[in-house]
Amino acid sequence: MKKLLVILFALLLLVGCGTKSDDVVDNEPVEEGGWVYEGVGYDALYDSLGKAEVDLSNADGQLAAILEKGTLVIATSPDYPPMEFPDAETGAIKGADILLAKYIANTLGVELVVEGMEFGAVITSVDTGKSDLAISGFGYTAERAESYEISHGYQADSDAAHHTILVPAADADQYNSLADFAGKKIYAQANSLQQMYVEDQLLNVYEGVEMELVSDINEAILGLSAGKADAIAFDSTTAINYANTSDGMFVSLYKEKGIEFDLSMYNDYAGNIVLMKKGETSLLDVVNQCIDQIMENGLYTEMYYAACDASGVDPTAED
Amino acid sequence: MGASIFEVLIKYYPIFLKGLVGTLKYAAIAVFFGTVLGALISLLQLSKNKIIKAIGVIYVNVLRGTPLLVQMYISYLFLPMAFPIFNAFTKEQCVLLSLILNSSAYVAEIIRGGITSVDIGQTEAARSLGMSAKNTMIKIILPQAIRTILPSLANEYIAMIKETSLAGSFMLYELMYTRTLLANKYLVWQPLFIVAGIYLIVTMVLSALVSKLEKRLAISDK
Repeated sequence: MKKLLVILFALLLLVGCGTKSDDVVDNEPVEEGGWVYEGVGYDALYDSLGKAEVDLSNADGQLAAILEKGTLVIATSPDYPPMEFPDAETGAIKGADILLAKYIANTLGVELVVEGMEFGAVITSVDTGKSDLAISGFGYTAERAESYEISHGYQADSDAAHHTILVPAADADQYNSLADFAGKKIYAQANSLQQMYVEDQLLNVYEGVEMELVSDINEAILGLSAGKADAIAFDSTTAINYANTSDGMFVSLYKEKGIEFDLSMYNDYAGNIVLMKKGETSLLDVVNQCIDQIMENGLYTEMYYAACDASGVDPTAED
Repeated sequence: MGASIFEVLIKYYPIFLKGLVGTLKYAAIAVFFGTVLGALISLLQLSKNKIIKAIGVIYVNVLRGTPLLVQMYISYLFLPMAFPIFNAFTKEQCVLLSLILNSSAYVAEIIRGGITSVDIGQTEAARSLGMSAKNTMIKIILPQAIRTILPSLANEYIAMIKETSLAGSFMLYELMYTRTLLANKYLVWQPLFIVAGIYLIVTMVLSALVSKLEKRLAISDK
């Protein structure tokens, strides 16, 4: 037992020495640009969300099944604030997508069940019928449209869709356009939009580009910190938030140099979409009506800002 | 970059504490029900009926021969497709189910090994004195087998504590999940070291207890 204590003590010392910290750094994202949230707050908004007026009398397929079991199950990968993230204190999953899901559940008059899982498992879970909807910051791709029913797009007013690359600050000078990524190794989250952009605009275009897929975006951050790759493909909001909290270790190339992926080649791209099983048109119809209504009356933007506030993401940070 | 490990630990210790409780809870549930189920499976394995025995052997081999993460995905995503009754299970229950099934296979092997390790001469002696097979098992074999079984079961619990980290892939609140929780506060590397430290301390303390238990059980050998 004595030996054990000695080893433990040595371990503590080791950890203590290994992490020389110059000063206490607050890891809460810095609220640059003075963005001040003026809404009612996430929890209050969640509880007071209204519902869309829809006609449910002709419900069939999965929609009928949802109404019968009384729960709407959504699959999401909570590693993407402010769209979906776990509350650090309770572990409950929050985010703009969750508010949208709650709104849909309210509309159907059923209870919302949020199932968190790895991004790669989210779509499978819809395939196998384990979840009714996949709401996890999905963007439009032709493949997704082919295999699933996809909803109308939704996005907040300020949520300009830019997708860029995060690089170590020390290397930022090397990059002036996407062409400079020839011969570089880039991380992208498996099955994400960024994977498609890297494939279409780097991998298949320039010499020697290498892409490494990660299931969890945090693996990519660790890998980039350790110098295992040169860059990470990100949407610009996430990129800027990682850059802001890394003490100047990483920079967003969109912010620094205006480098971004060209989205004009994906004409149908318009914000995020909800995915569900192919053929569930009556469910799709209800989801679309919900999205149309909250996009029209501005409720979605309110949801987005509440989620930004709850996750500490500054939506104005990319300016 | 960012805060040091200690700062993160001090600021967010309730999260790690909650994660540790989750880990210990999931491991305890898995090993408890795994032991109940594993005892039954070991009976199948020890059966003289070839078919029943084969079922037990196949069960153990399949569950020990495939990765737990794969079992979790199958139990969560595909069991409900094959058996609609599993649709009533929540994600947590599905993941726990795969932990229990996996544990039961290892426990079955532990119990089977414990029972067969008792010298066959003991059975022969008891039977020739006129004890029934049931009495021989309960009064002669099991009390001796338990001495090898108990420490191995405790070791299985320690192993299970580490295995439950895979449940973090399904966002169950256990130690590994704290990494996902804090990553959303842009803390990506510190939680890894904290979590590793906690696992190490817990498994070392439990291992020390197990070796104490082993010494205690060995007293009657002297």
